Amino acid sequence: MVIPILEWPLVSLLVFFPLVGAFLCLTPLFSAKYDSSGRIVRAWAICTSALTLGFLVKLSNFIGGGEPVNAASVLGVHEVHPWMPSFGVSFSFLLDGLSYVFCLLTAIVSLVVILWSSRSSAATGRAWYSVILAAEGGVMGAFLATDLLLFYVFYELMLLPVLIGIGLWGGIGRIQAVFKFAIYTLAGSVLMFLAILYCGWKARVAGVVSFDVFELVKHDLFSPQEQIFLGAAFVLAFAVKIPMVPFHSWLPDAYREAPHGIAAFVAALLGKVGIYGILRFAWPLFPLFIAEYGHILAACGAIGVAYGALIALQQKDLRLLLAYSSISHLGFCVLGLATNTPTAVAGAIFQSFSHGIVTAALFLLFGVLIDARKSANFFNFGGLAARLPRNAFFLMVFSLAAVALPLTSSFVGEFMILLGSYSKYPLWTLLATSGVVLGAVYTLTAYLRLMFGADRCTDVTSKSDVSSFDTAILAALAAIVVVLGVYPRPVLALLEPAVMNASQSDTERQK
Amino acid sequence: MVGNTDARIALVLLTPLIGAIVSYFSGRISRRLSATIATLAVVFSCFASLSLWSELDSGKSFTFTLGSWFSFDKLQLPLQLVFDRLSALMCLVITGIGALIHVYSIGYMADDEGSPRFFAYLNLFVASMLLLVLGSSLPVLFIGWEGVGLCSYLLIGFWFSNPDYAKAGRKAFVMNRVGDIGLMVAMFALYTATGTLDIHDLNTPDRLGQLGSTVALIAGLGLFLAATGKSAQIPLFTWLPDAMAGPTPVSALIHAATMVTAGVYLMARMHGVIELDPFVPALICWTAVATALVAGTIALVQNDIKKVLAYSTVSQLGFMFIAVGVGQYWVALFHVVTHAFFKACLFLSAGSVIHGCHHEQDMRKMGGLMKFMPATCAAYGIALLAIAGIWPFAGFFSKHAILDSISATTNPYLISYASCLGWSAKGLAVLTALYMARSFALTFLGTFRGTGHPHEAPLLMTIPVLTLAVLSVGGGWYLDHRLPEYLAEVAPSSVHLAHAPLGVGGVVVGSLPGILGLALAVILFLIATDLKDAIRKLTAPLEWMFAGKYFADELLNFFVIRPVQLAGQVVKLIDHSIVGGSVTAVGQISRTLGELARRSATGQVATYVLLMFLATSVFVGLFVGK
Repeated sequence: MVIPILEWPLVSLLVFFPLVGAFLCLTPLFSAKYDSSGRIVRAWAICTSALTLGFLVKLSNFIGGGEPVNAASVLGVHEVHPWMPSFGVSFSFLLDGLSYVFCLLTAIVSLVVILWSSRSSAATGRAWYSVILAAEGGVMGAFLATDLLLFYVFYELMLLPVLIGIGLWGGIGRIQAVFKFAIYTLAGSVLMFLAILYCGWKARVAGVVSFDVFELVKHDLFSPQEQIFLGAAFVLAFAVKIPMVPFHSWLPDAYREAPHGIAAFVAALLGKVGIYGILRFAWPLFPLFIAEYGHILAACGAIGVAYGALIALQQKDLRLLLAYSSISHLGFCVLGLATNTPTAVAGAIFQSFSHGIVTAALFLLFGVLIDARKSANFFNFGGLAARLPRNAFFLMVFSLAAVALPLTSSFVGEFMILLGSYSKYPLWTLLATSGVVLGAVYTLTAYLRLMFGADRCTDVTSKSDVSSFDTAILAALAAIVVVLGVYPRPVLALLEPAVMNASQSDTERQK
Repeated sequence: MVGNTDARIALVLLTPLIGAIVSYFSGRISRRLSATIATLAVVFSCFASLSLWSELDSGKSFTFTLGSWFSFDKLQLPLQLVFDRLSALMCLVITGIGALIHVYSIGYMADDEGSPRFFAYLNLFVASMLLLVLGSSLPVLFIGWEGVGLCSYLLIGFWFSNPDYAKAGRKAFVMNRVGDIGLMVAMFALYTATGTLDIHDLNTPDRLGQLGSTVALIAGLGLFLAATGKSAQIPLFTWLPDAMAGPTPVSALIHAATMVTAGVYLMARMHGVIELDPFVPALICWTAVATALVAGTIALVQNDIKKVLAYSTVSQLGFMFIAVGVGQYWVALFHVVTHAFFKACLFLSAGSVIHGCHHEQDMRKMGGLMKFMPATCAAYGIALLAIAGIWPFAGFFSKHAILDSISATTNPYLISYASCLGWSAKGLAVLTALYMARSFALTFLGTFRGTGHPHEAPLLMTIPVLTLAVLSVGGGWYLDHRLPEYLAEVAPSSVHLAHAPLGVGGVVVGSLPGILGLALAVILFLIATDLKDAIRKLTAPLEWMFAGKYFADELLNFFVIRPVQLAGQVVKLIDHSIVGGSVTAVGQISRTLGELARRSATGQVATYVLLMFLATSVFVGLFVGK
């Protein structure tokens, strides 16, 4: 595969543009002295984030999506700058079909969170925008880095703004949630850090001074046993991040305590880094691990689907409902990753994208309801369909997307995952289909409690409904969900070369 | 399937879809306009189907590809439509009866503020149902399959401020989803074995040969599970009676004439796969008999006029599945069509009655309506004779064909029970006539027991009802000669039925179960009511069981819903104590650290974030410097 190396640092701009933007938000330029209304900093944040998205769209020219897969086709753009040459550490970023899909999700969700205006009044001002932009830059870096150490830096860096955001604007139990979140995920990734160092050392011994994943893959450095141990270390870290059952305990607290915007960001993006990491690093580096232990992961995924759904049935807090439904939906992704056939993997990536959009939208919509009612317990709601028609409409659209109705993007992802995984793990696939029914039960029950039935929220007026500005945002998100559900080809075309190439290299190695 | 490309198929499908959007928004101008647009959309779609059908010669079909859908590696699923003789038949029923019911709804929903939403959903339903019967592959069919489920959910809960109605909608959606798992698993199994999901391709002998015995069984059972969900058979039938919460035209269109017959359509389409393992058709047959019996007996003791019709629908669907089970698909589809005529007629008549009695559904508060609404009464009476299977009404021909086909079965699991099956079916025919005649007697005969002044429905409502009544008279006789040959190539039957014209003797013998049932009803409910009371005393335990609906909801609650809730509670407990508990040690540390953090986190927000950035850049800078 030929990947051109660019002279201009176009790809790293995607990372540093939001980061610099975030930094500038905090300078005196945007202090209350010059920007008393906070409008300028808002405009600045919107510009930064919108430009990042626009820039990413422009870069799609470099991705060889839609072309037939052959050795000469351009798969993406690679950008390498030396960082610590003596250790073989470099600033290397790759934008190919795989990272493109995840970066696109990041750019869209960040822009939406920044644009979203009906958030609670506590979370405004330049610190808020700075946190979101910094988080965007961190996540972008994690999705683009091909150097293992660089990836690790971004992997931890992206947590900081999110933790600060929850700590500053979260609910009553925020400090505890922050520490549970921080310590759990850090503890999860310690082993991966050691594994990365070991990889680098091993490469150095073999005469390859590099931490770049493609260099390491090329030289086939690891013995079967090393592959198992190193693979386990990587997968553990990613399993916490996704989160995969049983490593999910941090998630409900974080969802419940985070401010709505941060929660949407976390739900839509952080877990996806785990999914991406498995595909970019764990599977190519340690193919034996997936060959040996794929069935255990498949079991975790399928059990996770049922497990998350069963607990979601018991939840009365809207945010916890979303937390456990996320665990359930991400179980499908894990099942797809474990199957590791092109169809299932493409399905898992598609589902990640779709889940990101749908969950972010649901969080923002629930946020509006929670703010209107000052409660997240859905027994305090009822009959809102007549009072908040816009919210009711979009909540129905995204609820239907969440239950993977055909012609929504979620159906494409779930269908491809299950179609692929059935050939390898029919019984686990069967267990995972239970999520199809249970998902419908908890989603429609929540909708029924919130929107239907007798009118019990006389204090809620149409003023609490989604504003017309936010309606436009939701309409755009709904359009993404429906368009990709009807015509998923653009995203699948992006993924085809990346995914097919990865699974080809797997089969070659097995020979 | 080789077929000519024809864009008219897209017109058939897309007109109601566009109609849904336009009629919703035009409702802001005028509700009458919205209703008219929705109706015209379906009428147009009906004419487009007719024009295609008229050019459909033997062995010919039309196809049209709307675009690509799934396209990844070897998985290629275009949004392709096929208009063959089976789709044509279904399209004509859907759009024809759909158009009549739309006209009826203009009158029925005239006073409802939300009628634009109603017509939008109704048009969306028609579009989904058309996609279901036009889809060339199982996943495209599945779009329609789930789409009709969604519309059914939305329309059952149309008056959503009543929580019971909203719950009925949810129940319908969830129970259908259970069935959908069957369809999904069948798709996975078939795709894994053959690499294709094209319906026509899957039913070719080559592909069928590729299926192993396990795959054949899984796929067959999966498809049947899907059919039990959509077509309300045991064990997934309890949603249909609850679905009567929706407006009556919805019950007529979705829950009687079209959507609930989708299961029969699926069986006919996938007949090759269904028949691979003879156990599957045998299971279908016995399930169908049991469903027809259970639903028929429950219908006997219902007092809500719509509930009688709902259980009757479940029971009649059982008749269709009996024909499926014995491998006579054209017979099943024949009954689909005639049932669509007379059951839509019955539902719409019931709707007129409810409308005329000011939203009263309890038959105990009706009676003697014959003189208040003669046209409705006549229509109901004709449809009653049709469903009872009296010559020359439509139901006679299809029911007679079902009875005929049972004796012709070659299924090894069924052949020795053929006569038992035949007598059961005849018994069920008696039962049908009995409970339908009871509803007629309670509603239209005797004296009026309600309050207020019942009135005849407006013309806009009676015309569709009378049209359906005419179809219930002549439809069976018309199709009886043509359907076997018409459907021979799309839904071939394993055994050819000797289809000789009936003599006078055949007509009398064939009508006998219906006549018997009607006579029984006349004796019990009109002449010798004392006898009825005596029998009721003797059969009290049975009545208790029928009135309790065999406790199907309670059984479902006890064996499925409660265990799932219990499992949820157990899993939640495990999640809290074991999975979450294993990190309490970490939590302890975090609490001490939290104390420290809270003390240091009192400064300015901006300074705090700035510090973070400075620290990071120092960290990065140090490494770069090396």
